[in-house]
Amino acid sequence: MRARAVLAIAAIVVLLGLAWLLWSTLYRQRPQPASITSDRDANFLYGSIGNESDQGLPYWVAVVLPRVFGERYLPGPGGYAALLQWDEGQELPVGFAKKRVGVDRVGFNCALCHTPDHGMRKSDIKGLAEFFSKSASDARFNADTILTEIDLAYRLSVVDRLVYRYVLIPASRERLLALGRQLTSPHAAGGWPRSTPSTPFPAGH
Amino acid sequence: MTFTARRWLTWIGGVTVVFLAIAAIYAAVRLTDDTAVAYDDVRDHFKYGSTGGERGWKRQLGFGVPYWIWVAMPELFPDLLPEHKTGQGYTSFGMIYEDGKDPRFDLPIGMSMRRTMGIDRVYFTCSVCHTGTYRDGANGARHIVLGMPANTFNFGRLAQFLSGSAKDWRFQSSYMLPKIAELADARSRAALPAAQYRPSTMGAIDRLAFQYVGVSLMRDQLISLLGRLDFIDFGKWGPGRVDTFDPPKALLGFRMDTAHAEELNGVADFPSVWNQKARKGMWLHWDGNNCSVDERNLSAGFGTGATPATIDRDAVKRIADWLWEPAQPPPFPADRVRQDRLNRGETIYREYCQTCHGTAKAPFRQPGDGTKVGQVTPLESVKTDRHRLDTYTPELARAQGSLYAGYPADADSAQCREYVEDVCRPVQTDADVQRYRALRDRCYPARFQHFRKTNGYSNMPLDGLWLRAPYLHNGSVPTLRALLDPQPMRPAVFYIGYDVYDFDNVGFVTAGPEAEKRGWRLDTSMPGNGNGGHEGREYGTQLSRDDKDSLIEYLKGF
Repeated sequence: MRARAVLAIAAIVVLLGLAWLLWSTLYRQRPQPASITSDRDANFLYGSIGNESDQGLPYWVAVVLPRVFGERYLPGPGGYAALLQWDEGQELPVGFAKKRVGVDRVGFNCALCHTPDHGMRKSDIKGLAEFFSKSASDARFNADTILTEIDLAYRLSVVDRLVYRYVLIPASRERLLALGRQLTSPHAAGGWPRSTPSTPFPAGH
Repeated sequence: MTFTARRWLTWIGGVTVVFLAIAAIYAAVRLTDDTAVAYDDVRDHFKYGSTGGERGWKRQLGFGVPYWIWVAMPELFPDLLPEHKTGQGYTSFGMIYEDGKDPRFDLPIGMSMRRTMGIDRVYFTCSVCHTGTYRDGANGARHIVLGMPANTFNFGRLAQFLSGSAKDWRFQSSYMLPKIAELADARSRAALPAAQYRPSTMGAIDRLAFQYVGVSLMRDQLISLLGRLDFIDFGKWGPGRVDTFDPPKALLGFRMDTAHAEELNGVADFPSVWNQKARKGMWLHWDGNNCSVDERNLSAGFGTGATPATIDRDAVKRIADWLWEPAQPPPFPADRVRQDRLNRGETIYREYCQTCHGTAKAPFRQPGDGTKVGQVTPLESVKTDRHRLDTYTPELARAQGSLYAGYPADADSAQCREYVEDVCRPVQTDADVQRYRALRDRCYPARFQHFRKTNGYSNMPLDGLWLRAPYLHNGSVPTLRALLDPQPMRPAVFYIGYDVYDFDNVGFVTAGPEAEKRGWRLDTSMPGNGNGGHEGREYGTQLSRDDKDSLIEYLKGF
């Protein structure tokens, strides 16, 4: 009787632990750093609009995608810089918002398309849509190829690695195809958000 | 079932379990093995210490070439070597073997060794591009100088050899393993000095692993690495030079088939690497594209195979700390300097050169002295060859911002944000240095945040100037004397990579039968090799013959 109770408690503890692990690797949010959120310009360019989970990409998939598929599906050398406005020294192009929801993710905000004039080329959103859909349709879009490229750039933890392999990378394929459609007709029904669900944008841009 | 049969089955089962357990332990020990050959003396560490490039991480197998394959390659493919001769290791690529080393079995300066996955593997380290030699005359003694540009090393030719070997049909275990056995046998009979680490001969398990996997994996690795660099014409580098910024484009997966031809000729002279303390906050690389010594080091470290996942942080920091201040250029032989010219030379230097190139010794500039040392001079003014500038594209500058992404883990912390700000600030006091060190030790390595596209070339300090020939960023002018001539009078064709020194003209001997035989023909009419610019009244090319002589004497003292 006693042993059963101990077993039951142990089982509950283990289950709770697993639930916590699942929650913390997939859902636990961490706010963006103040250097982005408290700066008007930075917030417009790199601030989250709260769409990382439903419309974004896992951070490392977003980072290595041009390294794996750029050679085939980008118009020229430069990774994302071949298509998008990207300020020197910045981690990501304009309109890419990095935020941790479980793992680090990248969402796309209004600045992706509505970029203030940086004196550079305009961002080629149609090109980005094509790049996303073509990469997702490529036979090499699989966990092995993507993880091999990530392994050149970062040491994922054991848990993150498993989540990337079995959850995030497979899901990214569908996500990229959806992004390819949404970015082509951004404000159609079911497309891009018109409003800004979580972060109010400063006016004047 | 009879009693005996049962007992036999138990025995067989037991033996199997024990065997599997031993195999599992062996595999676990072997696969987690990660030991770099260590050196007590920091100079040896600079010469042979590993930056981590040999080892892999998860699905990445690492860049390390198994020691036995490395030593077997020149013996197996002598027809692909520059001089078609066996028994010399990698000497014919201008790699430096120290006295007492056997080039067949020992590593040249610039190759490091690490035991990973139970295999001793070798790859490049910093000194491969930053250690050179000079000789006092054709029969004079050879001086090895650490931190000096690798004036004799033809990296491009070595890349061609590695690529050619990997594509050769003889690169397979049925050729490789007998050659390795032959070499191991020769090594055991050779009288080699004992006091250094040497990989053991292959055991039975190693031989099996190489027979069925190792050799073909290595071939795969070489072909995929060099295949990605296929758009680069290694034949136009020559000794002492490298195309710095095209390889990272390959690493970042850039689509190079649509690249403009102008961005593919960025061959640059290897730089010296002394006095980094004084360089903190200067605009580094020939075009001044980064102000952070740390980012510049890590970026160069990619060339040694050190990726964010594999870098040996402490080993790299140990090298960086030695280059910070202890590593110094050797002085120009005093008996070859005409002392009576120095005063006049200094006057001219101050008038013409010092604003951009600073004082003879570190720190080269003082706060508030208005110097332009380490600042970029626009191409319209300096007018030197533009290809190296053009190879560094705005797109590359941006994409480099994603290198070392994810590092450090707490990049958003106040301290690590301060580190990023501080890393480009010149140090003046010991307190500055201590603060920088404390921040660096906590937040290094950090994502690259200081790369930028510029419009010219950076004004370099001139420490160890005499050993940095040939001159200009592309090595297109052989001597200081030629640099003080206007372009039409500079040699249009000369031979680099020959290490006999010309103490009168300040540079290496680049003409004559020996230089032609031993050197590499540099044709200044080829794209990227232009020898124009850095000329006109303000660059001293209109000075009188006498004044030029005095200036050259003064510059010998740098």
